Amino acid sequence: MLLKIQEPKTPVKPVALGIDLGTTHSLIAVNIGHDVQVFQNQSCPLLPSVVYYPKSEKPLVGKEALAFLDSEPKNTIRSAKRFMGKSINDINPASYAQTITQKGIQIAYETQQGLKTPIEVSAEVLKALYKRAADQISAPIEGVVITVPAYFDEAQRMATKQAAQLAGLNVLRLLHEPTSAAIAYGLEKKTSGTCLVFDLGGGTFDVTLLNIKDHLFQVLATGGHSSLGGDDIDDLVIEKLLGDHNPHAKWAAKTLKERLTDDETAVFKFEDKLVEVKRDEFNEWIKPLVERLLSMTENVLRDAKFEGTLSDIILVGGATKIPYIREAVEKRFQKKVLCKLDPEQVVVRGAALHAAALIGQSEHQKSLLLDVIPLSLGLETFGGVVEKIVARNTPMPAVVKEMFTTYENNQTGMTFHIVQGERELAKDNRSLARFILKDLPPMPKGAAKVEVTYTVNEEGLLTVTAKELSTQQEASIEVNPSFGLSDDAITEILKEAIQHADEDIALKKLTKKRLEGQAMVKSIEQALLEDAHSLQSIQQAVSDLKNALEGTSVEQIDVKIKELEKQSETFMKQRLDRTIKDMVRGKTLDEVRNLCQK
Amino acid sequence: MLDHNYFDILDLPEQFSQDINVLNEKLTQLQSTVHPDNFAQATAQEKRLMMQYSAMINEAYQVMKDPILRAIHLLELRGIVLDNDTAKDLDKAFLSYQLSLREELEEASHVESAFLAFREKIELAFQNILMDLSKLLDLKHVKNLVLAREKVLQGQFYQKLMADIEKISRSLEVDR
Repeated sequence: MLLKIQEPKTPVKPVALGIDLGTTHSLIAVNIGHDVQVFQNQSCPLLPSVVYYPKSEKPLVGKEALAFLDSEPKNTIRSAKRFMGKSINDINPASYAQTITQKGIQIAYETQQGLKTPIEVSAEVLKALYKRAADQISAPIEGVVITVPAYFDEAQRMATKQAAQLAGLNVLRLLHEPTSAAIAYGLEKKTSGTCLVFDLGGGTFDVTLLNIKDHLFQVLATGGHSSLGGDDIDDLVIEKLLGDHNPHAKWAAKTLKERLTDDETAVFKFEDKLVEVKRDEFNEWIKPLVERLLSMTENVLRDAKFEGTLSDIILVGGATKIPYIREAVEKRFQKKVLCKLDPEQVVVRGAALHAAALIGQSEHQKSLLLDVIPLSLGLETFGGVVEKIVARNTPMPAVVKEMFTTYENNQTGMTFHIVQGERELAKDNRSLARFILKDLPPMPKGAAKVEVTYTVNEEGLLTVTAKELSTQQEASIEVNPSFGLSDDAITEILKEAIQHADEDIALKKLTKKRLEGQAMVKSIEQALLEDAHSLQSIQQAVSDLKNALEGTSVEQIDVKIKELEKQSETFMKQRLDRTIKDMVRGKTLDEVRNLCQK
Repeated sequence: MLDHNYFDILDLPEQFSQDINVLNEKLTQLQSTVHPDNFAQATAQEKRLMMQYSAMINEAYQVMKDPILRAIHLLELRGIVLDNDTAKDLDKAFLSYQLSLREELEEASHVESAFLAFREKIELAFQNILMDLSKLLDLKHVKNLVLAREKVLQGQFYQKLMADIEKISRSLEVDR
């Protein structure tokens, strides 16, 4: 179906898309005007997150790939999301139908097209989604918002971003799935108050407590499990009916689970086995798992120190369609659940709404998202003990500084091991990255003053810098290269995939840098115009950058951008300071807007 | 000495007692303007600066929301810095009282009624500390900074104890 988005002859407004990259299904949607359109294929909005790798042709995605699940299980990859950002030590390779091995530090599937990492598989799903949307709209697409489970750790987030990069998508932002669902309810159904989002997907469980007020979405606490979902229910079914973990029976188990949602009895069909299962029986099997989910939910309410009554419970994710789960949630929290929006589509709707807002094309009131960090971020210290730097449930973005020192005389370097999780010992947490601060001058132990800064942006992505204050020796790392692909590896794969000549890539780089430089000039010129007391050095840096833009050297433009940033930093900060002070005292907000006009 | 005055940043009166609704309003008002989502298409520099501002406002909010952190910040603004090793600054009597409370918790955690009573007692003691702090720190010219500091240290102890009580309470529920 083709979307009609405007009258002819009016200039085409750009759009941004929302993507829900799910364990079982994925969706893509756009918000135009007040409406959200979830893109469909043969009237089905869900694209199975399944990729089939043929011998030589291009991979198949979705329903077409699903057809090979039984006949060629090794070449047909499903639930790749569960392996995103994980290493082979995190999983049990034997319990999957595919042949699972390693590619570098990453998990990889052995297919007839060679080794495929979960990032590459996810990139195929993203490409297929994007194509589905691009085929149906004529407006230029500026970028995408991709949702991730709130409980995803750094490695899983980075892996998702890298998959998007590999698919050639411009990611405006990652967004937490439960928060995205809340946006959809807040904007489309005017839901408000303190709401609980209970999000059980195919492979992940998120629970988020948040306040919705007009256009404000303030997360109070979040929790969950990044590998617990509908897939585990399927495993339970297999275990009860077959007595072991036959990975080939997963589809049969999934089908039985879905049939029992509508019917009181259903038949489990696998190979030559036929078993009739009653819903009550099924409920008994999943009871312990549901109890775990409820207890995790209660912990989130406690983390938030919430004692009032919930305004609403929002259900998200295909697995919440199971009647027993709905009833259990309603019974425990004494509140009817909300499912006015399809639990399988609500996340992508919110992502589409937020994507439009990010590029300034939404007709809804601009929403403000105040989300939190799901897992604590820390540093390994002496004896393998973790010092927490950023505690979980801290609002994002966050910048936290801590001081550390040397523990040996004349120590010339310090190793930093960044970890994520709640356990006391570094080895029990997720290891994110290690880096070294080198060339410290000889000093007695305890004399070095090393300032470590953790910066978590609004997407939950971490950057760590360490600086010795007396020598200004500095080292930094963007987390997390350890479990994803390195940037070089990505460029390598991109090269293979696009098969562009080197010149084309160089030209692309130049165009991109030029655009960045032009935006910078425009923005600083605007700022200078507004301030009479402009500084000579900034003007000099502006004209230097302009000169560089005439040339063809990427390095030169980059050097001049950095120089202008450096020269204008204080000036820009002062302006912001002033504007913010005025604003707090109830004056107009337009000044900040003008200041940062694009 | 201090980087920021969080009361200034959020335009709140520089005192201990604060209205949580006003605090929330200030947070929303400021973040509506500086949140990085407003700058999705801005230059990298603007994005970075705005992200730092947004983070600073979040930090200010976190400090203002927690009564003990708020009191510590007030003391710091008046030149009183709390050492990391706080135990050595507590007076002897309170130190031994601390120990006895820890023992009491250990015993109470085996009997539900005793546990609940103990929790109530600690919460009440914490509330009293907050009342004392508002008496001491809401004045224009705080006279007894040393006493205020003592109360903050005690408040910190009660906060930690309450966190442990919470942990025990969760593990008790799992057992049931």
